[in-house]
Amino acid sequence: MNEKVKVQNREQALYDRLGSTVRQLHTAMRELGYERVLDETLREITSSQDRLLYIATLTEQAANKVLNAVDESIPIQTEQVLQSKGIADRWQVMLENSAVPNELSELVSETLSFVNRVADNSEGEKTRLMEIMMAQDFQDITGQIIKKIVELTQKLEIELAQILRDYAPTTVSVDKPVDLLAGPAVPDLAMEQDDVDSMLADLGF
Amino acid sequence: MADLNEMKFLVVDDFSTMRRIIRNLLKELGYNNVDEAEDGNMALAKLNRDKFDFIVSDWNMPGMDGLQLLQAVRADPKLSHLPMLMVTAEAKKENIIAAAQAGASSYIVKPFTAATLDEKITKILEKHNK
Repeated sequence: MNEKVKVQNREQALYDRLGSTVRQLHTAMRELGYERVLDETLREITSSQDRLLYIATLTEQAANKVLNAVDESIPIQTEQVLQSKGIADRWQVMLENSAVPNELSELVSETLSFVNRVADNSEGEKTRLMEIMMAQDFQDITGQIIKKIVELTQKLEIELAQILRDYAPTTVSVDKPVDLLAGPAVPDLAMEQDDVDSMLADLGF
Repeated sequence: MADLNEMKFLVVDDFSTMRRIIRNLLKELGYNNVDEAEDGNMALAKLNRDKFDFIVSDWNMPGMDGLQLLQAVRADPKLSHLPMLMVTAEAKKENIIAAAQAGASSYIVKPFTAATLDEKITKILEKHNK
Protein backbone atom coordinates (compact mmCIF):
# COMPACT_ATOMS: atom_id res chain seq x y z
CA MET A 1 0.00 0.00 0.00
CA ASN A 2 1.51 3.35 -0.90
CA GLU A 3 1.69 6.41 1.34
CA LYS A 4 -1.13 8.29 -0.42
CA VAL A 5 -3.64 5.46 0.01
CA LYS A 6 -2.72 5.20 3.69
CA VAL A 7 -3.42 8.90 4.26
CA GLN A 8 -6.71 8.62 2.39
CA ASN A 9 -7.76 5.68 4.55
CA ARG A 10 -6.88 7.56 7.69
CA GLU A 11 -8.91 10.59 6.59
CA GLN A 12 -11.86 8.35 5.73
CA ALA A 13 -11.74 6.82 9.22
CA LEU A 14 -11.65 10.27 10.75
CA TYR A 15 -14.69 11.43 8.75
CA ASP A 16 -16.59 8.25 9.65
CA ARG A 17 -15.98 8.84 13.31
CA LEU A 18 -16.88 12.51 13.10
CA GLY A 19 -20.05 11.57 11.24
CA SER A 20 -21.11 9.08 13.87
CA THR A 21 -20.38 11.57 16.67
CA VAL A 22 -22.52 14.21 14.99
CA ARG A 23 -25.32 11.65 14.54
CA GLN A 24 -25.15 10.75 18.23
CA LEU A 25 -25.22 14.39 19.18
CA HIS A 26 -28.17 14.97 16.89
CA THR A 27 -30.13 12.08 18.43
CA ALA A 28 -29.27 13.16 21.96
CA MET A 29 -30.35 16.73 21.28
CA ARG A 30 -33.61 15.64 19.73
CA GLU A 31 -34.32 13.48 22.75
CA LEU A 32 -33.68 16.48 24.96
CA GLY A 33 -36.11 18.56 22.89
CA TYR A 34 -33.68 20.88 21.20
CA GLU A 35 -36.16 21.86 18.50
CA ARG A 36 -38.29 23.53 21.13
CA VAL A 37 -35.26 25.18 22.70
CA LEU A 38 -34.10 26.47 19.33
CA ASP A 39 -37.55 27.67 18.46
CA GLU A 40 -37.87 29.56 21.74
CA THR A 41 -34.41 31.02 21.36
CA LEU A 42 -35.33 32.22 17.89
CA ARG A 43 -38.40 33.99 19.16
CA GLU A 44 -36.48 35.54 22.03
CA ILE A 45 -33.85 36.82 19.65
CA THR A 46 -36.48 38.52 17.52
CA SER A 47 -38.04 40.05 20.59
CA SER A 48 -34.70 41.33 21.91
CA GLN A 49 -33.99 42.91 18.54
CA ASP A 50 -37.26 44.80 18.77
CA ARG A 51 -36.42 45.90 22.28
CA LEU A 52 -32.97 47.10 21.32
CA LEU A 53 -34.35 49.08 18.41
CA TYR A 54 -36.95 50.52 20.74
CA ILE A 55 -34.17 51.68 23.08
CA ALA A 56 -32.47 53.32 20.10
CA THR A 57 -35.70 55.12 19.17
CA LEU A 58 -36.44 56.27 22.72
CA THR A 59 -32.95 57.58 23.34
CA GLU A 60 -32.94 59.37 20.00
CA GLN A 61 -36.25 61.02 20.81
CA ALA A 62 -35.00 62.07 24.23
CA ALA A 63 -31.76 63.44 22.80
CA ASN A 64 -33.68 65.41 20.19
CA LYS A 65 -36.00 66.88 22.80
CA VAL A 66 -33.00 68.02 24.81
CA LEU A 67 -31.32 69.45 21.70
CA ASN A 68 -34.50 71.33 20.74
CA ALA A 69 -34.68 72.90 24.20
CA VAL A 70 -30.98 73.78 24.11
CA ASP A 71 -31.36 75.31 20.64
CA GLU A 72 -34.09 77.57 21.97
CA SER A 73 -32.23 78.51 25.14
CA ILE A 74 -28.74 79.33 23.86
CA PRO A 75 -29.75 82.34 21.69
CA ILE A 76 -31.80 83.73 24.58
CA GLN A 77 -28.78 83.59 26.86
CA THR A 78 -26.55 85.11 24.18
CA GLU A 79 -29.02 87.96 23.79
CA GLN A 80 -29.19 88.41 27.57
CA VAL A 81 -25.40 88.67 27.84
CA LEU A 82 -25.28 91.30 25.10
CA GLN A 83 -28.13 93.38 26.44
CA SER A 84 -27.02 93.39 30.07
CA LYS A 85 -23.47 94.28 29.06
CA GLY A 86 -24.86 97.13 26.97
CA ILE A 87 -26.90 98.49 29.86
CA ALA A 88 -23.96 98.15 32.25
CA ASP A 89 -21.77 100.12 29.84
CA ARG A 90 -24.33 102.93 29.60
CA TRP A 91 -24.62 103.18 33.38
CA GLN A 92 -20.86 103.21 33.66
CA VAL A 93 -20.54 106.08 31.15
CA MET A 94 -23.23 108.05 32.95
CA LEU A 95 -21.59 107.52 36.34
CA GLU A 96 -18.30 108.76 34.97
CA ASN A 97 -19.67 111.81 33.15
CA SER A 98 -22.45 113.23 35.24
CA ALA A 99 -23.08 113.78 38.87
CA VAL A 100 -25.69 111.38 40.18
CA PRO A 101 -27.99 112.84 42.84
CA ASN A 102 -27.23 111.38 46.25
CA GLU A 103 -30.63 109.79 46.66
CA LEU A 104 -30.08 107.82 43.41
CA SER A 105 -26.47 106.75 43.82
CA GLU A 106 -27.25 103.62 45.85
CA LEU A 107 -29.90 102.51 43.35
CA VAL A 108 -27.54 103.16 40.45
CA SER A 109 -24.70 101.09 41.89
CA GLU A 110 -27.10 98.26 42.80
CA THR A 111 -28.56 98.28 39.30
CA LEU A 112 -25.09 98.24 37.79
CA SER A 113 -23.95 95.30 39.87
CA PHE A 114 -27.22 93.49 39.08
CA VAL A 115 -26.88 93.80 35.30
CA ASN A 116 -23.25 92.70 35.58
CA ARG A 117 -24.39 89.66 37.53
CA VAL A 118 -27.04 88.91 34.89
CA ALA A 119 -24.35 88.95 32.21
CA ASP A 120 -22.11 86.60 34.21
CA ASN A 121 -24.96 84.24 35.05
CA SER A 122 -26.11 84.08 31.44
CA GLU A 123 -22.56 83.33 30.37
CA GLY A 124 -22.46 80.50 32.93
CA GLU A 125 -25.85 79.26 31.77
CA LYS A 126 -24.59 79.11 28.19
CA THR A 127 -21.62 77.00 29.25
CA ARG A 128 -23.91 74.60 31.10
CA LEU A 129 -26.27 74.42 28.10
CA MET A 130 -23.33 73.51 25.88
CA GLU A 131 -22.43 70.77 28.36
CA ILE A 132 -25.99 69.45 28.27
CA MET A 133 -25.82 69.48 24.48
CA MET A 134 -22.49 67.64 24.39
CA ALA A 135 -23.86 64.98 26.75
CA GLN A 136 -26.39 64.03 24.06
CA ASP A 137 -23.59 62.49 22.02
CA PHE A 138 -24.26 59.31 24.01
CA GLN A 139 -27.08 58.70 21.54
CA ASP A 140 -24.71 58.40 18.62
CA ILE A 141 -22.50 55.92 20.49
CA THR A 142 -25.31 53.80 21.98
CA GLY A 143 -27.13 53.90 18.65
CA GLN A 144 -24.11 52.55 16.80
CA ILE A 145 -23.56 49.80 19.37
CA ILE A 146 -27.23 48.77 19.26
CA LYS A 147 -27.13 48.67 15.46
CA LYS A 148 -24.10 46.37 15.60
CA ILE A 149 -25.74 44.02 18.11
CA VAL A 150 -28.95 43.89 16.08
CA GLU A 151 -26.97 42.99 12.93
CA LEU A 152 -25.17 40.27 14.87
CA THR A 153 -28.35 38.76 16.29
CA GLN A 154 -29.95 38.89 12.86
CA LYS A 155 -27.14 36.71 11.51
CA LEU A 156 -27.54 34.36 14.46
CA GLU A 157 -31.27 34.25 13.86
CA ILE A 158 -30.82 33.28 10.22
CA GLU A 159 -28.37 30.52 11.16
CA LEU A 160 -30.66 29.15 13.84
CA ALA A 161 -33.68 29.28 11.56
CA GLN A 162 -31.74 27.33 8.95
CA ILE A 163 -30.78 24.66 11.49
CA LEU A 164 -34.42 24.40 12.52
CA ARG A 165 -35.57 24.06 8.91
CA ASP A 166 -32.91 21.47 8.17
CA TYR A 167 -33.40 19.26 11.20
CA ALA A 168 -36.88 19.84 12.51
CA PRO A 169 -39.22 19.54 9.54
CA THR A 170 -42.29 19.37 11.75
CA THR A 171 -43.42 22.72 13.07
CA VAL A 172 -42.82 23.05 16.75
CA SER A 173 -45.96 23.88 18.66
CA VAL A 174 -46.10 27.43 19.95
CA ASP A 175 -48.16 27.04 23.10
CA LYS A 176 -45.65 28.74 25.29
CA PRO A 177 -46.74 30.28 28.60
CA VAL A 178 -46.93 34.08 28.50
CA ASP A 179 -44.13 35.73 30.44
CA LEU A 180 -45.74 38.19 32.85
CA LEU A 181 -42.44 39.85 33.70
CA ALA A 182 -41.30 40.47 30.14
CA GLY A 183 -40.59 44.11 30.94
CA PRO A 184 -41.48 47.32 29.13
CA ALA A 185 -43.21 46.52 25.88
CA VAL A 186 -42.25 47.63 22.44
CA PRO A 187 -44.96 49.88 20.95
CA ASP A 188 -46.31 47.67 18.17
CA LEU A 189 -46.68 44.82 20.65
CA ALA A 190 -47.86 47.10 23.42
CA MET A 191 -51.41 48.15 23.98
CA GLU A 192 -52.35 51.81 23.83
CA GLN A 193 -53.94 53.25 26.94
CA ASP A 194 -57.31 53.20 25.11
CA ASP A 195 -56.97 49.46 24.54
CA VAL A 196 -56.02 48.95 28.15
CA ASP A 197 -59.02 51.02 29.29
CA SER A 198 -61.47 49.12 27.13
CA MET A 199 -59.98 45.85 28.32
CA LEU A 200 -60.32 47.04 31.91
CA ALA A 201 -63.93 47.94 31.21
CA ASP A 202 -64.53 44.48 29.76
CA LEU A 203 -63.05 43.01 32.89
CA GLY A 204 -65.48 45.00 35.00
CA PHE A 205 -63.19 47.69 36.42
CA MET B 1 -9.25 80.49 1.92
CA ALA B 2 -12.31 82.55 2.76
CA ASP B 3 -12.64 84.71 5.83
CA LEU B 4 -13.04 82.61 8.99
CA ASN B 5 -16.70 83.43 9.54
CA GLU B 6 -17.50 83.03 5.87
CA MET B 7 -16.06 79.52 5.73
CA LYS B 8 -18.57 76.89 4.66
CA PHE B 9 -18.55 73.60 6.55
CA LEU B 10 -20.06 70.28 5.52
CA VAL B 11 -20.93 67.99 8.44
CA VAL B 12 -21.35 64.34 7.41
CA ASP B 13 -22.89 61.90 9.91
CA ASP B 14 -25.72 59.37 9.71
CA PHE B 15 -26.95 60.31 13.20
CA SER B 16 -28.94 63.54 13.24
CA THR B 17 -28.10 64.05 16.93
CA MET B 18 -24.40 64.16 16.14
CA ARG B 19 -24.92 66.47 13.15
CA ARG B 20 -26.84 68.88 15.35
CA ILE B 21 -24.19 68.78 18.08
CA ILE B 22 -21.35 69.46 15.64
CA ARG B 23 -23.34 72.22 13.91
CA ASN B 24 -23.97 73.93 17.28
CA LEU B 25 -20.34 73.57 18.31
CA LEU B 26 -19.18 75.10 15.03
CA LYS B 27 -21.63 77.96 15.52
CA GLU B 28 -20.26 78.54 19.01
CA LEU B 29 -16.76 78.67 17.49
CA GLY B 30 -17.95 81.35 15.09
CA TYR B 31 -18.58 79.24 11.99
CA ASN B 32 -22.17 79.95 11.07
CA ASN B 33 -22.18 78.61 7.53
CA VAL B 34 -22.82 74.88 7.97
CA ASP B 35 -24.52 72.32 5.74
CA GLU B 36 -25.21 68.66 6.56
CA ALA B 37 -25.14 65.31 4.75
CA GLU B 38 -26.28 61.89 5.94
CA ASP B 39 -23.61 59.83 4.22
CA GLY B 40 -20.74 59.95 1.75
CA ASN B 41 -22.92 59.85 -1.36
CA MET B 42 -25.02 62.80 -0.26
CA ALA B 43 -21.86 64.62 0.80
CA LEU B 44 -20.21 64.13 -2.60
CA ALA B 45 -23.32 65.38 -4.37
CA LYS B 46 -23.29 68.54 -2.22
CA LEU B 47 -19.53 69.01 -2.61
CA ASN B 48 -19.91 68.86 -6.38
CA ARG B 49 -22.80 71.28 -6.40
CA ASP B 50 -21.74 73.96 -3.88
CA LYS B 51 -18.44 75.40 -2.80
CA PHE B 52 -17.25 74.21 0.63
CA ASP B 53 -14.16 75.09 2.66
CA PHE B 54 -14.08 72.33 5.26
CA ILE B 55 -15.45 68.79 5.76
CA VAL B 56 -16.16 67.20 9.15
CA SER B 57 -17.07 63.55 8.66
CA ASP B 58 -18.05 60.45 10.59
CA TRP B 59 -16.57 57.13 9.45
CA ASN B 60 -19.16 54.41 9.97
CA MET B 61 -22.16 55.28 7.78
CA PRO B 62 -24.43 53.26 5.52
CA GLY B 63 -24.03 53.87 1.80
CA MET B 64 -20.66 55.51 1.29
CA ASP B 65 -18.65 55.58 4.53
CA GLY B 66 -16.29 58.29 5.72
CA LEU B 67 -13.10 56.63 4.49
CA GLN B 68 -14.56 56.12 1.02
CA LEU B 69 -15.65 59.75 1.02
CA LEU B 70 -12.15 60.81 2.04
CA GLN B 71 -10.65 58.74 -0.78
CA ALA B 72 -13.14 60.15 -3.29
CA VAL B 73 -12.40 63.72 -2.16
CA ARG B 74 -8.65 63.23 -2.37
CA ALA B 75 -8.98 61.63 -5.82
CA ASP B 76 -10.99 64.54 -7.25
CA PRO B 77 -8.75 67.43 -8.40
CA LYS B 78 -11.57 69.91 -7.73
CA LEU B 79 -11.98 68.76 -4.11
CA SER B 80 -8.62 67.28 -3.14
CA HIS B 81 -7.42 70.52 -1.45
CA LEU B 82 -10.30 70.53 1.09
CA PRO B 83 -9.41 69.97 4.74
CA MET B 84 -11.26 66.92 6.04
CA LEU B 85 -11.53 66.16 9.73
CA MET B 86 -12.68 62.68 10.78
CA VAL B 87 -14.90 62.57 13.90
CA THR B 88 -15.60 58.94 14.66
CA ALA B 89 -16.11 56.24 17.26
CA GLU B 90 -13.77 53.96 15.28
CA ALA B 91 -10.74 54.25 17.49
CA LYS B 92 -8.45 51.37 16.63
CA LYS B 93 -4.84 52.03 15.68
CA GLU B 94 -5.55 50.60 12.23
CA ASN B 95 -8.38 53.10 11.73
CA ILE B 96 -6.20 56.07 12.45
CA ILE B 97 -3.46 54.73 10.19
CA ALA B 98 -5.92 54.08 7.36
CA ALA B 99 -7.42 57.56 7.69
CA ALA B 100 -4.01 59.19 7.77
CA GLN B 101 -2.88 57.25 4.72
CA ALA B 102 -6.04 58.23 2.86
CA GLY B 103 -5.25 61.87 3.55
CA ALA B 104 -7.37 62.86 6.57
CA SER B 105 -6.45 66.30 7.93
CA SER B 106 -6.99 65.14 11.51
CA TYR B 107 -8.88 62.62 13.61
CA ILE B 108 -11.20 63.06 16.60
CA VAL B 109 -12.49 60.11 18.60
CA LYS B 110 -16.05 60.17 19.91
CA PRO B 111 -17.08 61.07 22.51
CA PHE B 112 -15.20 64.34 22.18
CA THR B 113 -15.25 67.80 23.73
CA ALA B 114 -15.81 71.25 22.26
CA ALA B 115 -12.22 72.14 23.13
CA THR B 116 -10.88 69.21 21.07
CA LEU B 117 -12.93 70.23 18.04
CA ASP B 118 -11.74 73.83 18.37
CA GLU B 119 -8.12 72.79 18.74
CA LYS B 120 -8.16 70.44 15.73
CA ILE B 121 -9.91 72.90 13.41
CA THR B 122 -7.56 75.73 14.40
CA LYS B 123 -4.53 73.52 13.84
CA ILE B 124 -5.77 72.31 10.45
CA LEU B 125 -6.49 75.86 9.29
CA GLU B 126 -3.10 77.13 10.47
CA LYS B 127 -1.38 74.41 8.49
CA HIS B 128 -3.66 74.85 5.52
CA ASN B 129 -3.15 78.60 5.27
CA LYS B 130 0.62 78.46 5.47
